[in-house]
Amino acid sequence: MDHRNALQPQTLLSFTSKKGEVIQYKIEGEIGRGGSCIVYEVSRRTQTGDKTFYRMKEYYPYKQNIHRESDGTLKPLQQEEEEFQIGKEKFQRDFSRTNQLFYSNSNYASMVNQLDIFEKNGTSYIVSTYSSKKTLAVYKPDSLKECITLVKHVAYVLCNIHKAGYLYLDTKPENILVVEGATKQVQLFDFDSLLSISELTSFIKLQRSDIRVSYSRGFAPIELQKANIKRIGPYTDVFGVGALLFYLLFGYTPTAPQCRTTAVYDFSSISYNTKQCDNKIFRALEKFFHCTIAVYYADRYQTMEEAFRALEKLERYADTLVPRIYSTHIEKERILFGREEELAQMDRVLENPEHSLVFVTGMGGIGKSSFLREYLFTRRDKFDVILYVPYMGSIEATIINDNTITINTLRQEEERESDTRYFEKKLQRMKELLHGTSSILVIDNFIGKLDDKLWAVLQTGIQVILVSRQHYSYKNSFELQLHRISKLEALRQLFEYHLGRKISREEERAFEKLVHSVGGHTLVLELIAKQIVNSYLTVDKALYLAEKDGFTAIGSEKIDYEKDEKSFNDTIGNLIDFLFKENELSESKRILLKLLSLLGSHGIEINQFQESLDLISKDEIHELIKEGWVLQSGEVIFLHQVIWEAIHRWEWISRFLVEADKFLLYFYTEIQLQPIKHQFVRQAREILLRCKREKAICNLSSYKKLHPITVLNTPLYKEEYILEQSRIIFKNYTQYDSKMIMKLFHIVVEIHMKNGQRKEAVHVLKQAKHLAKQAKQHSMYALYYNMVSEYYDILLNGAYDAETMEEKRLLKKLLRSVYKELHADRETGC
Amino acid sequence: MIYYTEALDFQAETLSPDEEGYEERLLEIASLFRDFGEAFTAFLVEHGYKGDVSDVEAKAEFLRERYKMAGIKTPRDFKEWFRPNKQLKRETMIPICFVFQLGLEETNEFLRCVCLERGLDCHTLNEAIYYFCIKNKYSYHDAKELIDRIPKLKKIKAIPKQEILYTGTVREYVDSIKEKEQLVEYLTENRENFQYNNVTAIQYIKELWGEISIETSEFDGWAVKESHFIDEAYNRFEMKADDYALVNKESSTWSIFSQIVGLRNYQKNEYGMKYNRSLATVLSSNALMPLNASYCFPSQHSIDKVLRGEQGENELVRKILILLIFYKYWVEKIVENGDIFYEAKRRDAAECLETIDQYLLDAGYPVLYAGNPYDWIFKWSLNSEHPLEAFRTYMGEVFAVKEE
Repeated sequence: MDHRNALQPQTLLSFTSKKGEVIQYKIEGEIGRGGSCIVYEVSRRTQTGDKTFYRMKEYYPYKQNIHRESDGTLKPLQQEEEEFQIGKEKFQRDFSRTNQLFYSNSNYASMVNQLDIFEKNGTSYIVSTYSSKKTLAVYKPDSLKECITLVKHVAYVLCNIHKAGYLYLDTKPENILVVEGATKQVQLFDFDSLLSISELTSFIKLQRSDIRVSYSRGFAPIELQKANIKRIGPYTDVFGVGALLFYLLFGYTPTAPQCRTTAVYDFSSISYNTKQCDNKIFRALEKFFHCTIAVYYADRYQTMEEAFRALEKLERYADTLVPRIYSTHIEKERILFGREEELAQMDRVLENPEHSLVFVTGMGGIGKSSFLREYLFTRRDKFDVILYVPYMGSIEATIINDNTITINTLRQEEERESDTRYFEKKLQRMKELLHGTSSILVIDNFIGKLDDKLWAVLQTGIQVILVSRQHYSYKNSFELQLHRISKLEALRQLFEYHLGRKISREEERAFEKLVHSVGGHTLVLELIAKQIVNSYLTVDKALYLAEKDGFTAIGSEKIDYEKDEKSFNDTIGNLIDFLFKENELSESKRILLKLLSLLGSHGIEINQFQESLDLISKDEIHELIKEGWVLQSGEVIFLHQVIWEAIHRWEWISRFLVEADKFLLYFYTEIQLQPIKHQFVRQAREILLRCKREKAICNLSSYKKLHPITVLNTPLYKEEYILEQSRIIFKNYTQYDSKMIMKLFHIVVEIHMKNGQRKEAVHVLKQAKHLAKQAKQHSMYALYYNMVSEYYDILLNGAYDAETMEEKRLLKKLLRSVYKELHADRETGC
Repeated sequence: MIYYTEALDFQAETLSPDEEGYEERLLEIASLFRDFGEAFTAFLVEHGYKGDVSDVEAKAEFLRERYKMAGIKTPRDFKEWFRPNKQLKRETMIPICFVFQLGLEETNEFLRCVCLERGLDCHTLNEAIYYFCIKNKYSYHDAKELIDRIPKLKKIKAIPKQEILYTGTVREYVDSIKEKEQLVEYLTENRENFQYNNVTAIQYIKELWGEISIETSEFDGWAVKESHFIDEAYNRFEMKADDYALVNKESSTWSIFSQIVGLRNYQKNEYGMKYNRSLATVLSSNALMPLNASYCFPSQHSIDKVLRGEQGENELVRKILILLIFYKYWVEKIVENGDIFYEAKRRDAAECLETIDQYLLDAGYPVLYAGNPYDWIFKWSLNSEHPLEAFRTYMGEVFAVKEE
């Protein structure tokens, strides 16, 4: 509500020029008001009687108390008279200055043309050409591009003003007229704040601190707000330009936090459609704002030319009619630890022009996709176009999908082509658009064949990365294998991140063991950490449970997990099942994996494995290796702990059990035939250990054969093992071969006697006697009495001349058992 | 006034914690700050007082005359104004502007440099009226009349959850009108919106605190990130009590505040338990903390209060804002450069200063002023190579002085 009293429509203003000519204008109406003036639309009659229209600015500052008399005269209060006169003189000087500016460079298109200046009504009037009434304060651009174009025009004008030796210092929507036409133009019309650079320099030299430059709140940088004359420069106007664009996009002027060079802007809140713009628009806008509305002057573009060039670039990005391929929006990975070397390696690989095709391989859950996304996000400035797409079953299907690879001027539903035709057309368009650019296409979860379609994609000039669990080779390709994170510190960070706290010193050891137990598998570590949280466990307890029953049995509570931008909430076991899907494999391959899962971490030589299963060829084994299910180190094949855990969860169907039976029998036979060859015994021990968790296997007859024979053939120094296993066997010894058991009894008695554990030895002897009685075989008795005689022999300890009563008693017992043994042997025919 | 400010600016630029006798110099500088009486005396001299500057009676007489000339009721005892460390209420300061016929800019300068307060706050009913009257050259009497005409509502405790009327909007409207009736109508219609103020500042404080603490961030807040650097660099004492107090993910406001100001564990525990997490006992009557610095010095209680959206003293809100912007700026530098001893460049200090000033202006507060002892601490710290360390060193000296 401005208090000023404008001249009424139809009011006549007659001016006399220096030549004595009387020029009369008629007020048609008020157009607008600035801080120091009122602007009217006025008209005049020419000699031909035609009506011509003009703009007229009347000096009438609103800050002062000025009364309009009935005759139109402006009367300030007496105490403000001086101030009014000073202002009027400045108004007149500004006319001269603006007049100079208008004729310099090509400003005539972007500045209102002032025609004359007159004195009347105690004030001054400036007449200028007829122009638009609309300012940017009321005009709403149609599109993002138009906003940028208009601001670019403002920057252009300001460039010229700077070249002419002035600073504008009052960029704001109200001071910018929008001129309609085939293309919209802008005109600046208020030059009250114009400051000559030479004047500014002299103020600084004279250290004048009383200079106050008026400014518009929200569009003025800090140096204007603080009247810090020393800091005013072309970058001050740069701030105004940035604030102007900011205002057009967001509807309000930038706040202090938004003037930080680290500010993040929510472009989703702007009211313009940006879907068709270049992907780079937001980053470019962010950079533009960081370099224009930065609070510190040195962080801004130092010249208006720089700002202008940046706006030109923005304008191109905002142009929706330019054909373009849209980059995939990649979010920064929330966390990624320990892949610095691989990221650097990826840089080197992609820098090599020979590597048009790169494979990134590794087992499931090792972090291939996260790695790639982190790489693409951190290196996004290196590439003009980044396409990150999931494999859709074939290269053709992947490429023709317009939702993942989008060209703004091409869509299959509009082209109505067949898939093959569209594939060719799209590739051709891609080739045109990507020509001369540095672009990359990443296809995630690739499991297909390397066919001529892939070759066609490579012909577009784009670098292709295929992410897969499988190994591939192709000409001019490179394979980057992603192994487990090697640095313990990185694994710790990962673990602690998901645990939500730091690991204490006391938990270090348990943590390291956990890492070892899962082979440093990234995903599983994450899942275990989450399980610890959800099940309220300690790290030690988790380790204990993992060692006892496998990591999938740590807890039954569900945990959250995100993969490939999908969220899951399930138990560790089910998540692992999902990761390593059983049904992706043939039955024969599943059998191979199930049998491999019976072996320990040492694995088995590939030839031995083939022999044990009587396989005709190793082809399927090789395929499993290629597909990433099986690891190979030299001749030895083995399973990663995590895959082992997943396979362990597969059910033992009857077909698997049949093969398992054969497999176990193989080892039983080998041990029988070649007991000296410790390798089989060692492998059998590992199998037996794994079988502890495989109830179905423990019921097989081959298992019942393998178990005791393994223990029997275990070197005696592994006493603990022998005793432990024997205890298990002896609990149900009737299920086993009696002779085998008797031999086992013998060894156990020997061990107990060696260790001075007489009581335990006697207990075992009783069991042996019981077995012999049950068996009712002489050979069994022979074995039993042999055991007994050895028992007494040890007790006698060489005192065969028996001096004491005890010695005599022992000797008698020894001899008695020897006789019985001999008798049993005779009866057996030995 | 200019020379006084320049002198303090000079001290801020030249004094280094590495200097010998730096502690003594700090005490000297602390004594240089003028209290209200001294600053007001300088103001009187600039506005026509020709008598002896130490003659309280003469100054009081001068004031009486001026009040009489302005037709404003004289306060009870002017002599009290010249007592050391006297603090006037805002309602007492503002009539002085009418007495001496100050313009708007001069009024704000007076409030900033003499009273060490913010300028007229258009989001307060009375001050919006004062603003209007001073701008349009109405008298104090006119202002009082207008104030009496507007029905008053009590200030509310917390900022309401409704559309906010910002100070900028109020000011823009008041700037555009000349007639008293227009003002009365506007203020009456919108009087509910004058029950709160400092909205922008409180919003900024909440945002800053959110980034510093770990409440809104998925990752560690800046304080937690900084704590690792402090631990590695400093906490090597055998006695844990002498270590710097550090935050962790579960840290409270008190813990974060302790880290920001650089308390040691024993100080954090002592002031946490014995003094209910308040540093008032350290700051009061402390030679290194002139009254105006210790007044409304940020504390755990005041920060929590602001975070709850509760209304507080202008000075309190302003000081918290300065502290948090300063801390966040430098802790970002430390963490991003991975160096607790990150050496500040001149442009860093200038940028930090501009950032603080921009936030203050946005929130309707005056920029950092060397004559304000609280502001001076930060201006001085900014001139150091390690500003955050310098600030903490200063706070350390404050404690040392108290302990002595």
